[in-house]
Amino acid sequence: MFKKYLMSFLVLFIGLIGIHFLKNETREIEIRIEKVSKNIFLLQENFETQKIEYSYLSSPERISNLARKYLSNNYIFIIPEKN
Amino acid sequence: MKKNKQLNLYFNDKLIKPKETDYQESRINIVISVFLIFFFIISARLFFLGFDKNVNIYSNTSDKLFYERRDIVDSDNILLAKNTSSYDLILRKNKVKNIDTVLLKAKINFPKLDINSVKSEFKNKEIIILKRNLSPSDYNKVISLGEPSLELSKKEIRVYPQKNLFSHIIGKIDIDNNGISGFEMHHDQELRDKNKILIPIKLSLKANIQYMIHEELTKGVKDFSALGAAAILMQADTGKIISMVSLPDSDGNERKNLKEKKYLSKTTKSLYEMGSVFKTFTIASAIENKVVDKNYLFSDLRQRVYCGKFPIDEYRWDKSKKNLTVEQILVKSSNIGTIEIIKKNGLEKHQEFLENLEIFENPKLEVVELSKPNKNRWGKCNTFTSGFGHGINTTLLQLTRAYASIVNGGELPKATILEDSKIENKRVISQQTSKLMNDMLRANVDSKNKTEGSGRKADINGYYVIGKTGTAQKPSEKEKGYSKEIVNIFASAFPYPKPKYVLTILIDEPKGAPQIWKHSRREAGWNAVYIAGKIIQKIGPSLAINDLDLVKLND
Repeated sequence: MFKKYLMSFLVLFIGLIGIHFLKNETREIEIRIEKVSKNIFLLQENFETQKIEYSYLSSPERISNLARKYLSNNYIFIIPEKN
Repeated sequence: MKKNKQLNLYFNDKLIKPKETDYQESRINIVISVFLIFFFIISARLFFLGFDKNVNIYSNTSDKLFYERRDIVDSDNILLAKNTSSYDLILRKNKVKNIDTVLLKAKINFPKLDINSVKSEFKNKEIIILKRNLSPSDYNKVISLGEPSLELSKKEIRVYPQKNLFSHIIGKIDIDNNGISGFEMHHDQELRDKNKILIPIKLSLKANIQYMIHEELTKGVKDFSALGAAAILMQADTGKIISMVSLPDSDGNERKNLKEKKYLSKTTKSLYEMGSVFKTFTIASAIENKVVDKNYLFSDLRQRVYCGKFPIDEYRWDKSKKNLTVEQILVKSSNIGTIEIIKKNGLEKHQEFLENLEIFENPKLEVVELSKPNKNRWGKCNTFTSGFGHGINTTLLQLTRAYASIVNGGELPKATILEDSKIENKRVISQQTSKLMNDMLRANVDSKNKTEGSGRKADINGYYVIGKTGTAQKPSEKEKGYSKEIVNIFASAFPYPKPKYVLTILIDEPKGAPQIWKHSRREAGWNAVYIAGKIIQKIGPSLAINDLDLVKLND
């Protein structure tokens, strides 16, 4: 009878140790997932900010000012009408 | 305890021993029991912890990047409005050790900071906002300061990267992210739809075209010392608006209280008498009803006619305006000729035609700044004057739409700024009438035409522009009748013979420009047409990139 109990306790104890290790591993993975999620969040936030920055940098007003500053006046020419 | 009756020296220790063993055993049992109880409690706890799904002590950043409003983009996916994170710089009173030191540090980094007002607020408030919406460099400055009492408060703001360019169309939101004007208010629910929060709303507008029109119009306002100006560029067949500008405007990113009347949208909100542009509709109605054709001659036209006791004068009358064909009435912009056309067509048919063009109905567009035209009851005199756009008013949007129906083959389109909007057209004139109207409108702009039309300054090489001008006096604000100030309109389309784009220009209170023309005439032909020409010259190549029809015409 005593052996039976002892075996049960042993199984339970080994199970608990297994769960402990499993739990620890899960925790490690969760920490890693959390870090990656944080990185994704920051990258997404950066990406969204960059979108605004890009739309400002490529805004017609800015491009037009840059063209006026750095391009010569004759970079566009009009083909005369054929009649 | 039992009494021992033994008389000899023999001691029966068996009687005593069991008593001692029981006592010891029970002590051991108690210790084991306590140990087991603790063991079971801890085991049970460990066991349940192993299956507990809610324990996640690391999930302190479950944030996902979802903003409260959807992005708005133009038809080329260029951002027009976007929510983003921003920071306010705040001062927390209970963490301040020495206010002067803290403010000195802040002032060095943010020189515009008003120290005195902060100090006065410091006495009454626990938290003081020192600077709103920090730029990334400001953010870094605060981090490097390392001052515990200076904190960064994160919040969500809406950014309009194109600044002024679309302010009249897109509108604004309040600090709680609710739309308060323009498209932002009209489409508030759709913009806040959480199921579609990552999908931007696409408009039919084009940022590059909008910029070019905005630039030319701004220049025009300056050249002609005007109060303001407006322009609409619409696809003739679909009613989709490519560009809509109203000047003056303001930067949507700035929180200004715009109470002045001049900031009203001149495209959808302000009502104007449109002048001779309406002659196009008068003639289209008469041709549609087959009472005249473009060569029908009206002879013996007088300089002045009376409607009851009210005189109606011909504008700049000379002998050449005595006998005019229908086409010449349009090109020479004859008021008396137009009245004769209405008489021939019938007053009721003329009224019916204008109402069919939905000129007097509530304008429909995806913005909230809309005004319903004031339509008086039809009388004989105002029916005559409506033929040349006097005594009735409407918005530039409705004029543009009606014009699109005249030039696109006869279908009145539904005006929209949404790229995916369903096309709903209503036939108002036949294709044949539309073709005849286009021929006549081309004659008004064609610089090779012997009868010099008022629109010839917009005859841009290669784009075959058609159109009609209108000059109308503005009603006086102080007294009954009209003031000396005018509004000039040029309603145009291109390329002839099958126009794809309708461009309408409105110049509010222009003055003469002797620096350009060496005289001070201020009719539409000398400003609105000139500006339209400049705009078409500029936007033409950009439109042609995606438009093979325009390219073919230039080959």
